[in-house]
Amino acid sequence: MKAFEVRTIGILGSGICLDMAAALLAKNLGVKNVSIIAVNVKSDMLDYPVESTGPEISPICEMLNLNLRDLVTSANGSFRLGTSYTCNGVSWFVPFGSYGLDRGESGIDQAILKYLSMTNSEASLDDFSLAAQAAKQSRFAIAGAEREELKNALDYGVNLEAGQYSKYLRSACKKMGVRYVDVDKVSKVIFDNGGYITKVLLGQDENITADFWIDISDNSILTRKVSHGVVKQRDSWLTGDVSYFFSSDGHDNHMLPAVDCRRTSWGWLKVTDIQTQTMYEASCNEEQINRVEVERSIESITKSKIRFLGVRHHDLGWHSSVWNSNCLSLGNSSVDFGGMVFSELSFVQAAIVTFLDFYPAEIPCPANMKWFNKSWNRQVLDARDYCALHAYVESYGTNDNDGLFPQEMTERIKLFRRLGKVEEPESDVVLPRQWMAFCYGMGLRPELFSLALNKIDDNQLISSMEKLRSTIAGLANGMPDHKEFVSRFFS
Amino acid sequence: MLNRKVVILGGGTAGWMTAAALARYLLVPHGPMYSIELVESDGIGTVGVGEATLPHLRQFNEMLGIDENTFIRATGATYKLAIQFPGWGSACSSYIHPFGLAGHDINGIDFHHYWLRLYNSGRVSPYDEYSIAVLMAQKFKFQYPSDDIDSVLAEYGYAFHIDASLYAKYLREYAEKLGVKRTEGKVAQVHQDEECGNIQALVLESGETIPGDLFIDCSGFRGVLIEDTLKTGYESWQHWLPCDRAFAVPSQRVNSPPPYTRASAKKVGWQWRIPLQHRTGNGYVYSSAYINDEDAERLLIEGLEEDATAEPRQLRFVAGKRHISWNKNCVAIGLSAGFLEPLESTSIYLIQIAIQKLIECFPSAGITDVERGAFNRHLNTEYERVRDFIILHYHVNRRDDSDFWRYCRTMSIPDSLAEKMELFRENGRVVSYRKGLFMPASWLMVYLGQGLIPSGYDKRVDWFPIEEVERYLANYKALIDEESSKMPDHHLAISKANEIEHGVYPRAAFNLYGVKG
Repeated sequence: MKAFEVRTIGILGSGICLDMAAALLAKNLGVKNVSIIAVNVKSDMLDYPVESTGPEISPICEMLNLNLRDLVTSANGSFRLGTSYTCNGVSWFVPFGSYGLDRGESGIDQAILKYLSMTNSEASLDDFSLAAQAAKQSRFAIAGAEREELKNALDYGVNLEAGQYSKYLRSACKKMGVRYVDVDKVSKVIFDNGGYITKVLLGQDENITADFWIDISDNSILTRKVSHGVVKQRDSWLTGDVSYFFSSDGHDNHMLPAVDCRRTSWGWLKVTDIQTQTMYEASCNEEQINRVEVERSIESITKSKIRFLGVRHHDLGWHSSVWNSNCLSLGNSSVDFGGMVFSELSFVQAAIVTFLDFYPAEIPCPANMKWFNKSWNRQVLDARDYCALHAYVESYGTNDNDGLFPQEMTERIKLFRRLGKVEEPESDVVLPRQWMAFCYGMGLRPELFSLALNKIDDNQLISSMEKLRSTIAGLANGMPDHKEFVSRFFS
Repeated sequence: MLNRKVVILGGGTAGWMTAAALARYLLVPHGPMYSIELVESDGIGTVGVGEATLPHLRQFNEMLGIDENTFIRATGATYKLAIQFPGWGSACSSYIHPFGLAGHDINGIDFHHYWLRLYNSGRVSPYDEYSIAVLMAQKFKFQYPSDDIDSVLAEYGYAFHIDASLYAKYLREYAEKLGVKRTEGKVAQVHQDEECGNIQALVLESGETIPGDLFIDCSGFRGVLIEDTLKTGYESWQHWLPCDRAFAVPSQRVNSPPPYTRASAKKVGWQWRIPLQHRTGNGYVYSSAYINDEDAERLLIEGLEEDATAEPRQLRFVAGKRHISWNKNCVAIGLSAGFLEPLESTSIYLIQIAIQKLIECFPSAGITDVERGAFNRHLNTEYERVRDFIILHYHVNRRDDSDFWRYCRTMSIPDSLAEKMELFRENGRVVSYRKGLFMPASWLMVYLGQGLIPSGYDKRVDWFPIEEVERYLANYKALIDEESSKMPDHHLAISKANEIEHGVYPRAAFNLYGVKG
């Protein structure tokens, strides 16, 4: 068949994922070169009330030429230094930022772990994370441009009201020339003889024609047509097929610069403070508990009156191949690990950025498609392993159930337990230090340490680590209150 | 079990690099008591491969606290910025693969896509000429790279051409000073634990028994411990890398040595030329299936630019690697772990990587599958990625002057390489990975240097006016041309390093392309 250039991209979806995909494509391709049509398909699903990002928000804003301050202001945002966990009576923090105050020295993580193994003090890994120390006291600051070591330690994301975030993006998209079409449903998908989607019929008179399609719709309108019935892969450890969302008016809002995840008897409770409200997401199995029981349980845990916002059901699992023909299938219909750890938006964003790396000169482009899918699969498997770790921690120490979990995850755990190391992943989905923080937090303790530490005398190591710990504590104490920082930031 | 006694078998470059590095970390006054014993025989010659190195070696020296000027003096080193590859794409073509980048990304799109657009209209210089390291190499210039990330002077790294025997000798002194015990002798027998098969001791021809907890096999191709004793098995890659022999010969020194290695493709195989301060290293790598030994030796001598100073000596090898490098309580490092011809100067790098990984995973208490697995996985990846890159040089050729090149062009290649090439051919995309040596900058040099021009490129570059792209490339080339011309001559830089007791040089970056890489 004759190759054709991509002149128009049609995106089907709704909410923030649709807007983000449109914004990234419009900005990077330029609508005068490639027309972007965002088909906003009416969805029965609840839009996510809150979006918590990682540090990728800064490059995303830079890429989209968005002002982070304006975005946070318009989306009632707060800042996020990482994730705080409470599980089986133990609490720990998984920071985005690095441990120690990195001035280029390598092996600091190993030095901290060795120090912790040598001393019986109250010290914990969190003491060596400026982000963890700040978050515990609800403090926050953005490091100055010249303070590289603080920038690394205080790497941050944001918590945003998703509806507002979506509006902000949509407004940017419209300014860039993205054409929006609002429809109730797609009535028909038309293919050419080569099996490529050429147009979608939206009603009796309206249709959209495009050379390439991105399907982020809730019911995978296009995906079902191009994936030839391939079903999602799903592991038995994957649980949490429903998310209930609640909010409270904010009187108990501590403006924690983090996302707070607590393991409960029914599943995970994720608490996020934004400026005016506290948002709750309860991730559980529908068969085991109903919404009213969850609501009562949250009120009892938080001692707050909460308001039910809605529910989202998860079709748990993932597709390993999401670019088929001239259609890229994204969103929860292509990967859904339950929303506890990774949001739908984070996958869509990552996929679009990867797609731009493999942006096709023309269709068909089998090699580009193959490598995109390979890269996508790598990212999804890294995410899957980290999600599996969250499931593993629930039963950690109670029985030996390693066999249930992905082998790559159990190998990572073994390596950490033996050598205090985390293998460098091939994707940026989860940083090695996040693995380390989680593994250590859940109670794993390494047996051995790198030989490189032999060059340092034990007493010298202890003294330098204690000094570091105290410097970090001092820095954290000197940081402004998160609430105060936010109000100053916007004034 | 506490692995307190480490025994290293073999004292070539691999053996003494391992001994020196382990001594640096194990034989420390305040740490646990370890001992390291290296067994070697003066009666067994060393191969002495790897005279051309990669920038990573600077990091190894830095780790050992070795001053760079001292190292240059001790090893007769010259600086190395690149490898020149005459005759690889076609018999009359030539390109340079530098330790540096070519051009800058523009608007988030890789430089080579802009180059490809201009290439199609014939309005562009050869791709390698957009690399400052290449221009420096062509002009015989050298200066330390800058650490100012915004400067074009930060777009390259450097390595050395060294006398590997002198390096081993230097490291021997270093290691012995730190307490490594050297024992002269040949291994007659190896004692193994009857139950688990672990090596317990080496018995020398003299009758002396050397017990140990952890054994490092640096015994060369033969793999006395990893293969003869533990029967680990060898994976041959000869069907992809058909060269199986080499002749090596030194020739006279040159007064103004080039700051690059030359790897010239010949009718069957290729010839290296490595300029040192005190001599020039030469060798001819060939396939015995396509040329006989006499002709190969003759071609080597005919291809020398200076008079030979010794008789050529022959090496035989099979490209490939052991199934695993760490088996039971034995770790193979160097040629005992695998052999890949020195086309891209990777021999010492592969030794270094194995040592550094061993330090990371050192089993100071017992040995478990966890560290063995982590070590073996890492080394497998490293070997396979180097392998694919070397095969690429052979496979992408348009030579029609021998069956050897025709075979290389049409042979089947590993899937991992075929997929990468397929992607490049389609759209000019280069696969990047995090583990392994050669990054897109290197792949591009070989692809484009050997004439593999993709059928497409990133269409987004068409959205910029062609005159603007042309002007940008011309300005960039003029800038690096000017900067490289201002630099001192390479031979003067060497003289300076020899004169100054301790050098002030940039910190080593653990990559091929300098600070910016």
